[in-house]
Amino acid sequence: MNSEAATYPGMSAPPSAVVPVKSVAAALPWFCYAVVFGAVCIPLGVLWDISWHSTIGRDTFWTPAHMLIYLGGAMPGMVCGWLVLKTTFAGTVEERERAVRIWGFRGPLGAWIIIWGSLAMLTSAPFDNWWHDAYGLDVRILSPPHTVLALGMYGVAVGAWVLIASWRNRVSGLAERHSVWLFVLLGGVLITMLNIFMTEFSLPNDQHNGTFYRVSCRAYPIYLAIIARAAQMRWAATKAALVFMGIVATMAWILPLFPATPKLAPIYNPVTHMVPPAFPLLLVFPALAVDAVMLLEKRLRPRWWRDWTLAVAIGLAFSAVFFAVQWNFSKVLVSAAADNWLLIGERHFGYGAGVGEWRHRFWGLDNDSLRWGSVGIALLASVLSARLGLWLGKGLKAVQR
Amino acid sequence: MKHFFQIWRRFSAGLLVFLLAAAAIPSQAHVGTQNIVFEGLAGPYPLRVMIKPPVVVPGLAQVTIRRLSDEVTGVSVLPMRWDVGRKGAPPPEDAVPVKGDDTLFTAQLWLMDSGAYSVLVNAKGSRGEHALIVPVNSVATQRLGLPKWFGAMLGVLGLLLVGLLATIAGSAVRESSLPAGMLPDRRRKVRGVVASLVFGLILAGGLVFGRAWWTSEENRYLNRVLYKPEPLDVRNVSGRLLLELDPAGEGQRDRTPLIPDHGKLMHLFMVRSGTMDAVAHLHPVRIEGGKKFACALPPLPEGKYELFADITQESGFAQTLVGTVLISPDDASARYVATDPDDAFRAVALGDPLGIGLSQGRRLRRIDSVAIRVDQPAALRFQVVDAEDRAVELEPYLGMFGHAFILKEDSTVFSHLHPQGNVSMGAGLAFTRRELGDQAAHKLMEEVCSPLGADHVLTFPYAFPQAGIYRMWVQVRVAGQVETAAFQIKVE
Repeated sequence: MNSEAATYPGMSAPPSAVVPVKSVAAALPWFCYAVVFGAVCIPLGVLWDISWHSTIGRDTFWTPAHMLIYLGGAMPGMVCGWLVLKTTFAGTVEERERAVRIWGFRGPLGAWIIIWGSLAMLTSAPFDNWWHDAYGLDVRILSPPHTVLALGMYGVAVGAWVLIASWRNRVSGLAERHSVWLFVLLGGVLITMLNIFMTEFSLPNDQHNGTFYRVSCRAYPIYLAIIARAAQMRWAATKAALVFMGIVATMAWILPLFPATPKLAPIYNPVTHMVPPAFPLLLVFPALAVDAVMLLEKRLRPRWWRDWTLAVAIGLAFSAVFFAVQWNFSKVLVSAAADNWLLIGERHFGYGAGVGEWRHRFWGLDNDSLRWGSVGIALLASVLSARLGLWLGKGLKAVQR
Repeated sequence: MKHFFQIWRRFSAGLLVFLLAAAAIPSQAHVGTQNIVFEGLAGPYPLRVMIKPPVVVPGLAQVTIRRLSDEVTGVSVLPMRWDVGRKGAPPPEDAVPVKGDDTLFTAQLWLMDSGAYSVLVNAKGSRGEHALIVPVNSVATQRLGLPKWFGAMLGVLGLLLVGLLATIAGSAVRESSLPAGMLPDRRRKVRGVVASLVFGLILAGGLVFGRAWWTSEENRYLNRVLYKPEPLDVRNVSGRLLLELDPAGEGQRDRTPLIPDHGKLMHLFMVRSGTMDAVAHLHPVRIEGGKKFACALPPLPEGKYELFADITQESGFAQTLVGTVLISPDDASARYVATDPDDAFRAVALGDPLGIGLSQGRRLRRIDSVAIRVDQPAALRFQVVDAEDRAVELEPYLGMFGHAFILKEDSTVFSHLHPQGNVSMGAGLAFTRRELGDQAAHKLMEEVCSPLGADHVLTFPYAFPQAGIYRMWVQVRVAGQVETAAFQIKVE
């Protein structure tokens, strides 16, 4: 691969003077595929692990779901550790000049973020172990050590995103096409991780209360806006949303094929097969709206108000479609009619969830029903979230190292 | 359900939690121990079961079963929460024989919820499969401190993560968007430093939220999860003892009605503080319905008394509530009339090696005074002999041939014992009736009062939870009279 290094040998210049030159490449280096593979393993492993805990309950350090998560955290971390050492001590001039410096070492920015993510995941292990000894085994899913673990997982996935973006921004040809698709794939992976993180607020029974819409409108537009702006592919947000839905739906359809029974008491719901996740949010529809709005990007003059205009349009479009789709689709999901392999219905409830009519009701309507105040907050949040996403997307489009 | 962003703000950068350091704090458990020792029959097979419940919930209970009959070839165990029983239990766990001791089996069981549990012990042998049930409380009793070395390690790792991330942010702004080979200019370098500082400040804010989050989790654990006996209000009103359970209504949330434990709703033990030379075993009766109990105070020597009130709930959850009361000389009433015919009291000194003297020349003596070690089930054996050293036949007292209670010298451990162990028999009956039926419960009641051997030796199985000096009071009924004797026991 040719390098643009020769174009700027040791030159110092203001950002405005920088015009990156793309080089033609037939393929991405192997470590790009390795870190993407690792990032994909993480949500798959987490979904599998949640199913394991909902079905069997008892686990060990060595369950296959845990192995998948460790693989997703450790493997990219080791690969990137190697990459940094190689670049620092045995890298070519081109490789060293294509790296960022941290504490005397050199490596791609994405690799550093991945290393940070792996370190955070590693740190969470003894912390979580002490937490179990002090307060009981996973009394709450959202605990400080689990948060460190989750931040580490995000670190790995975001680092892979940045690494792929840096290659996509400086190569052309087949390698560029690969990197664009990998970028979209990672966008779907990150949306999946976010969705898993918000499971407690996003079950079908929550989808008529205010919290669900306020939280969702803060969280999803940022990712969709980043992808729509930075992927440099048409309908990229829609494709990433399809990746998210595909991951969750595939797990939801495959896991229940495997027989399993609870090994912990009390069992309020005697499940006989692996418990699936709930049917995914229909994020593809609001993502389509976001992509449609982004078609306007090139028609607007690149002034300071352009991104604010786009953010308002994305926020409104996302919210309107998201509300309309989820409000109505959730009525189907909580009904008895959804109790089938395709829509999952109430099959996502684990062994510890009592059987009863409560599963077919919307929750939180007494004190958290959807009111105009919540709608207003959700709209504002989606606009600000989209604006932040556009800003970060701009940054990802510019990353070179 | 909590608001996502409220939670996110609290934990988004909770790394300062690493920097928290706390000294190890000893637990103040259910008067020192939740461990259970139970000796009974699974059909024809005699077994001794010891259960060490987890100190936090969910957690692992350690179960050891000693077969007291060669006929037993295998044992399995099953945890059952009181409200779902066997229907809501997982498949049983096979207990594994201990290497080098083929009479001992061990297993681990997960107790996932707080509250009343029981363990169904199923023994297999030449006479088929038979079960017995052992009640056990599942409660958090431990407050674990953060060891200094561990806190320091987490602190170093946390600082490394914060420092690295802030540096990455600075590098990203400084040079990540520069084409290869181009050096950052001064403006970029300044922006990089500013980015590091700003990101570092954001992370520092996150650390503050993280610390607050950890503190709130710790407080929630201390206030809502860590087991504390329900408060007991005790008053001495002119020689009449008035007790009220949980007077402020702040106790257990999933309380179920009280049930009798060998015929009494409450067993109240009184021990004179410090000297431990006067004791009473009373049975207050419920007054005004609900949570108030009362009984006449026996004519005990004046002083401060420590109170231990055993109660059992319908669920099988058994508690020992604690309190104190002052007895003045004026309270010693010549007109004392026991509230319950089974009430007993005595100013009692320690027994000598030959045993303490009872009425009519009889003596109660401890036999087989072998060394007792912490956490190892020991069979404490006693015998009443007459002046000619012949074994005296015992009569049933409160439905069995003997009772005992144990108090550590520093009052940190108290247990009420029966020949079956330290379980609440009321809880045992409740669980047995629910899971194995009325016939099995009836059989258990018969077994509790089955005749002693020809030597009339009374055995109390127990596992002492801490090393130290204990005082043990043994109560028996001989010739229609309840007798109390005191012994000192050293635990290594």
